[in-house]
Amino acid sequence: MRSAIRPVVVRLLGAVGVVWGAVTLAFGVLQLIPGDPVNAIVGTNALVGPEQRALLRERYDLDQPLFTQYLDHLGRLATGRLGDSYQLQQPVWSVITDQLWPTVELALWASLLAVVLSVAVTVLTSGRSRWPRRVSSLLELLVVSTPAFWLGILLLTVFSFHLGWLPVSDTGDPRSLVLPVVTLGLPIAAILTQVMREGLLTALDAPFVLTARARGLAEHSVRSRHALRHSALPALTLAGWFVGTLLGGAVIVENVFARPGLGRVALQAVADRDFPVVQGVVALSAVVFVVVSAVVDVLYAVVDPRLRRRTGMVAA
Amino acid sequence: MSSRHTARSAGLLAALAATLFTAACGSGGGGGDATDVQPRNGGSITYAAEKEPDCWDPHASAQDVTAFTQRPIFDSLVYQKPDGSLEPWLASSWKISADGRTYTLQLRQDVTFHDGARFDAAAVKANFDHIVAKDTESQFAAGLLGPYTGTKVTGPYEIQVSFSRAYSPFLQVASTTFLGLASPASLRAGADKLCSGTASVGSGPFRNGRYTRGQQRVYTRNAAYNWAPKGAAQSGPARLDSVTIRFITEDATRVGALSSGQIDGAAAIPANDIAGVRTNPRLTEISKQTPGAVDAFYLNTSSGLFTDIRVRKAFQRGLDVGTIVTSVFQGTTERAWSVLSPTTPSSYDASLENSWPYDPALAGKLLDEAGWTGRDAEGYRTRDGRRLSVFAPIYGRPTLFSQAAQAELKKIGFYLDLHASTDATEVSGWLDDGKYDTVELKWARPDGDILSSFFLSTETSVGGGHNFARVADPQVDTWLKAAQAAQSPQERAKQYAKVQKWAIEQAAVVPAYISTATVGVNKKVHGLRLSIATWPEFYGAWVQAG
Repeated sequence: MRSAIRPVVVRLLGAVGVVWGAVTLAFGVLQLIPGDPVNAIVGTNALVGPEQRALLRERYDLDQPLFTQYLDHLGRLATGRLGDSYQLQQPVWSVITDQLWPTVELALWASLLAVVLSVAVTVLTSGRSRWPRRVSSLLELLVVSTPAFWLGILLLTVFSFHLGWLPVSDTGDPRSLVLPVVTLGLPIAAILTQVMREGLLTALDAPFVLTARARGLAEHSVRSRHALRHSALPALTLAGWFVGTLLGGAVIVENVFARPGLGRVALQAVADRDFPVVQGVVALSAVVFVVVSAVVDVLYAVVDPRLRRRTGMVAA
Repeated sequence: MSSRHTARSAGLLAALAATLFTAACGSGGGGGDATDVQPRNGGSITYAAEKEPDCWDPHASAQDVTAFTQRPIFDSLVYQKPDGSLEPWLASSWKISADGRTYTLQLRQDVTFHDGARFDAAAVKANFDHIVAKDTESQFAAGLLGPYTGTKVTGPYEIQVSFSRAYSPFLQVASTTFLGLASPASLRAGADKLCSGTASVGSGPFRNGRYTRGQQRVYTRNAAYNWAPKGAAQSGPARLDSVTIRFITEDATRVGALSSGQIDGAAAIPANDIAGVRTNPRLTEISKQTPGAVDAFYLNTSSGLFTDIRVRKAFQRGLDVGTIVTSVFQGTTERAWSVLSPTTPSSYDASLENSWPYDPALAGKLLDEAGWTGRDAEGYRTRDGRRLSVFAPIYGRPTLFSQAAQAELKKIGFYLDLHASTDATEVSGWLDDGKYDTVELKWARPDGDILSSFFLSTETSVGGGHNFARVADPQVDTWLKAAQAAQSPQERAKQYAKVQKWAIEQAAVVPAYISTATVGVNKKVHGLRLSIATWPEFYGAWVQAG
């Protein structure tokens, strides 16, 4: 029993460490900005006298020593309070929760598209003749090297502005989700395809494939049921990168497509120096990363029978 | 996240798209001759703004976009017509005391807020109290009230607003959305509610509808509305059933959505897209010069290089403003001759036009006299081995215009050191300490009193003012104070003209260009006009059937 709990505890402590590190870095980086943070809060457009500046300083505890501010910040985070946004005058927590769903929706559809597309393309273009693979590789390279905002504007120009098939920004119309999902999912699909095809080609040369074929399995079954599992392992390892791309991509996609969401809030917060919101988004991203890597660890075991205890197999 | 990158690529793409799709354009003209179409009630329009308010409470926010997006909801005491003249709105008349310190306003008695509450003197007092309350943390509205001391309810429909000294800008200030009137009950909801944009309760022609942050806000018609000012485009309830303002920050997306007919209007059409809007058969453009302080170089008269008036004059006359403005804005924007825009009501001094033309020979002579006779390897002038370098801090990135000015100034030997920083605090540090030679900026405000925040000796950068030329001239102070105290617009215009002339003669400022707001509109939308603050007024707008 004890042996079962221990790795979980270690894992949890590690997770807390990662989140703490991210939060501390975000706090530190924002302190590196020289000058008076009150100026940042007030902005350059305002008509604000010295007394009110002093009041703001007090209200946001900016008159406290840095270390006290840091401890307060950690204390608040530990109890789940993210503070109030300077510019929006809203609790950061409600800003984030209000904007979470559009981003999650976008990210989920984009992930689904990326996985389905990459699996399909991998299975269809591996082995057999060479030219489908060449064409596919070229397209993948093109998609990966195209900046996301460019891809987004290009898709908009063609499919929305000129052909009029899809509306530009979300008005409750599910069609408006298509272009953002494609813009966000396509580059991820391209990378995944390259990694998985590499894995699949290696696996198809492995002796167990020969065995499977010798047992009389059909080619599609050999590929999808046996070889594909092997190629999925390196792709799973990319999950961290995958989440990062989704979060970073959301910033661009949400702005180009005028969609609500966390990315848009984050960009505006950075532009307006709304520190509490930036720190809140960083903390949330850190938590998401930690959760995703935990999920990936579980998935490894699902995909790779060697990692399961009962199978009696030993990991190579 | 580099927005410069985005902008550059968007431009590149626009060029590419133009070559790819020229064949596809020009279809579906529609509309036809719109002049015989009769105004009709009903329908809705969608308008894209380029920015979204952070905080929606106009009493707290300093953002222009808050004032624009809340205008349909909040009425004001006074209305400023597009030509700048003031007329009664929720205040039916007013009297100003002989010393200019007390305003007695009579209020309309037939006005109700969206929540059914009656508009009366107590409601106005509640609003003014809210603006100056500490908890409101007003970033702009309280500042607009200047030497405000308090509001007294002197009758059920009569109030008295007092100031510690004569303050003539009050009526104009009272016409802005920043001093818009909200239902007293809604003001008690707290800063977070008021800022959220879902709890705005005014008395305007439109009510607050559904709002999704990051996407759009809907406005629905207030059927009871019957207290529009005389100068408005409409009387009684608005014609449109609803208006939707969508927030599309990306220029290419906003312009594309407009030209493909997915939205009916779009703000801030970039200069290089204006030609495209003009040639598109289903679109039209409305533009207006922004009132207030034009884009100008303010020269630091109190320290460093520009304490020498000869060097300031050389900078002023040696910069070929006209040529740069024409080439940068491709004919969509005019050069400025005064620090004020011509659309600033009763204050612009037109006599300054053509009074200080480009004169490189004079500039060269002045620099020679000032001792900047040497030339370094790159062709810049030097004195005692030091380069004639002008430090110009810039928040964000240098505009195309600043870069063109830099190239132009090189011709007479000035090195314009455009010091870009994305760090607001660093930049404001330089400004507060006076560690710069010039600052280029513009400031929109439909009142000549904007000159006070730029030239009054007490309006230093440290205190939140904009005296970037660091002028401390008792004579200028007298003129500006006299203007604030003057009752008649003519008298104020006379004082403001003196300040404008002084600023040019002393070369404290080099006016550059008059920024122009350009809105693209679908031709099926009629009656949309730009307010004095250059925002579209949806109240009088209507949309053609079909």
